[in-house]
Amino acid sequence: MLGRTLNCAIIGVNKMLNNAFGKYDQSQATLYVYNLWKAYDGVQALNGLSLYMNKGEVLGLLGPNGSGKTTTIKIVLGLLKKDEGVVNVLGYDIDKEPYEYKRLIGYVPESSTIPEYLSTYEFLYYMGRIRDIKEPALRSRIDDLLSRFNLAEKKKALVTSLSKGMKQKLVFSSALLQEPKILFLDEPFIGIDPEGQFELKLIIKELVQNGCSVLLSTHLLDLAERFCDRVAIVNKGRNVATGNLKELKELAHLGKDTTLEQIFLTLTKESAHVEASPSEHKRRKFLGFLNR
Amino acid sequence: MAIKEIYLMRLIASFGSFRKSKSTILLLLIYSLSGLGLIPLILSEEGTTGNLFTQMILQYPVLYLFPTLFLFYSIISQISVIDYERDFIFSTSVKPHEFFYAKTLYDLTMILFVLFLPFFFAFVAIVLLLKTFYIVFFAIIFLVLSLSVILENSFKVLTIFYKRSMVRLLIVFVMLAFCAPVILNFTFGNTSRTVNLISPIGALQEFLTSGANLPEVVAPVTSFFIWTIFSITLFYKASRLNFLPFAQVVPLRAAFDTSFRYQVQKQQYLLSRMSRFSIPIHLENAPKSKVMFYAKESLVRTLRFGDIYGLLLTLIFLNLPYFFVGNSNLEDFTQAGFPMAMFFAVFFPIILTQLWITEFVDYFWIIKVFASEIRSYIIGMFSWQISIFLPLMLISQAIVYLLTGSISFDTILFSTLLVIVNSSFGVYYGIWTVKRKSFTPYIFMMGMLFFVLLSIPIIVMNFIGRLFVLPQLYSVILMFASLVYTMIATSAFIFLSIKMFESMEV
Repeated sequence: MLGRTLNCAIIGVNKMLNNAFGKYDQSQATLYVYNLWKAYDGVQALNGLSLYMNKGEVLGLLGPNGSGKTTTIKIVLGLLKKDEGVVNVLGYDIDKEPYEYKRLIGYVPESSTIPEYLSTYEFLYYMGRIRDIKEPALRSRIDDLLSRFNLAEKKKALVTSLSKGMKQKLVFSSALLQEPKILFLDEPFIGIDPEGQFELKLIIKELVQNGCSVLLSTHLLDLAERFCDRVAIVNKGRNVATGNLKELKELAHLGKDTTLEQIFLTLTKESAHVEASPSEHKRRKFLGFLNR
Repeated sequence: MAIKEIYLMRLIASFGSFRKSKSTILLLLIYSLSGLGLIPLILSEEGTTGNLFTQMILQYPVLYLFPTLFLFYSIISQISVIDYERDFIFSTSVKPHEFFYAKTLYDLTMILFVLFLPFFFAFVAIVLLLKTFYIVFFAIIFLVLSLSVILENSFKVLTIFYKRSMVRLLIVFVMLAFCAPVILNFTFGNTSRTVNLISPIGALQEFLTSGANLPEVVAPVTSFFIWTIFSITLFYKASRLNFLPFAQVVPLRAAFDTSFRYQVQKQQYLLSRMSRFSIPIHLENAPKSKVMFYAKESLVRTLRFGDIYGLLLTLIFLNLPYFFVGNSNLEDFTQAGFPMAMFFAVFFPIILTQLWITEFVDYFWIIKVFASEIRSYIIGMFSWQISIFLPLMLISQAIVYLLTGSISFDTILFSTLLVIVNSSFGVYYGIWTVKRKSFTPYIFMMGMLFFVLLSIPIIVMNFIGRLFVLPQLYSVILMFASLVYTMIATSAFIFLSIKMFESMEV
């Protein structure tokens, strides 16, 4: 009885997703991910994940640890190879045009792993040169960003001497070197003090107002609830529900006063029981073997 | 008393990596066998190399080098602890002297380990061949090093609690006393026996050369005894001081530990220490060419992590024999120019590649996400390796020239080709390592094997030219063949590196 109810719920979720994809407007979408599969050494990290993001939208990628959020972002950025699926960023198919879209994106990784042996200025200069930003423009852009993020005084300091919050600000600065059309943020506020978080949120909001789309991966429910236009709840490598708070409440059959936390717990619990069928696993395993 | 526990914990942490894979055991075996190389040197006492070895240990300052280095180290560094010790041992009721005894015991064990293992087979061979002179000699080295370690640790603690300048002055005095025979003999030409007795090393040398003659033994033994009492007094004094809150946290120096965590810890530590001494080359004024930009970025890294100093020290160490035979016209050593260059061209690329990978492994995501094309990066890394090796190789040849008055342009040319081939393979090997996400000693040894195999064609072609007196035309053909081989191998490895980088997951 319980199993049947859960299955109905999942069918409802899938229907909703299908509806979402039916409504999806290609001219507005900056990111389109469809049926993404990925396994690491036999462990299935993504199980056919699909999502899309519109221009000028903050899409929260919400899920527990190991749900596939970082893997999704890494595949979109070309850091990992997908086993199967379609990824389209700003109209570029990442398989056919793996470099072009990278000029238009910014990325803030989960942990601020940036070359510690470079100075603050050198790091931004390095990032700018890698991204082919021309000389005079690059230098003035670096100066702007350093003063905007209050890092001008640390211009000559080695990255290794910066605090965690400062390092994160520096990574943010590097992501904004080229005024990105999409910003990928993977747990960007961890380790930053409230004041720093506030500053960064203001900058992100400003970017969004100028038409930048932001994919924000987080497991902080408060942040997702307040900051994102829509939220994609990911669990066990699947997108179990996407929508704004109101749509998610309806989907989870919960009342008006429900918080995102309750929605999240309900939907992730339900989806936890649904696994890909054994035959599907075998097929993926075989495909994975062929890819290798 | 927690001495035993602290000591054992350090040993387990240091040798824990042996439990990780069988390849570490193999590496340990290779390290142990490396001492076998000493046997011909010791046994061929009548030959030139045998004489040289005897001269180096008895008459030249090599014996004084290491103990003095230990003492010098106590001036430039603080007493150190490992991070887990600070967190989990210092927060308990362990007393400073307990920790101090355990740490010194551990340092002595490590010296014994480092010395004992490579010389083990050499010891066996020497005992079998009854060269007792060298057995006593190795025992003396160990005694001297033990004394140095005890003094080093004591001085490090005393520096914290007493007037720093005074303690440093005392260290300098002790260093001068240690080296007194060398300084007086070589600077002022004073070769009297009494001078040797000032230094514990000199006293032990006297003991060694005095044979079993009792009256001659008394003076050196007394001198060494006084030094021992002095060291133990300082050691006891230092052990009674609470130095724990002032200790500096350093990464654990684990034997053959190539774990990622260890490497990261080590890099951070090196960066904090070495960037201060770095040559002021900055990235802001990078060349316009993308390839040269990447090469310069890597050069900045090499300088700031202090890798370049390590390579220079290795270079000097490799060239030490030339300093000792400078004007003696020993043909063996001028002939050794090519093997030395060969060893250099094979050994240095693998060191530099390993350093590149461990220092940059965390940052490959930047290139993967943002680089508009990979080719420039790969060629940039290749150019960086060349820009490090070629000057070092030329410096090495210049030292040979200055000290022996002989130089071979053939050697320079063939060594340059070796450097080019091995630098291109270095880039490929580095990316292959990152792709495999494996940093075990096994991978390191595989890399070394391939570096050697790739060098063989060039080495063989060079040796053919050396062994047989060939007409000019054949020499040109051999040179041309080496050049073609270098070009093909380099192009292939650069192409493969690009392909591998593109398919690499970070």
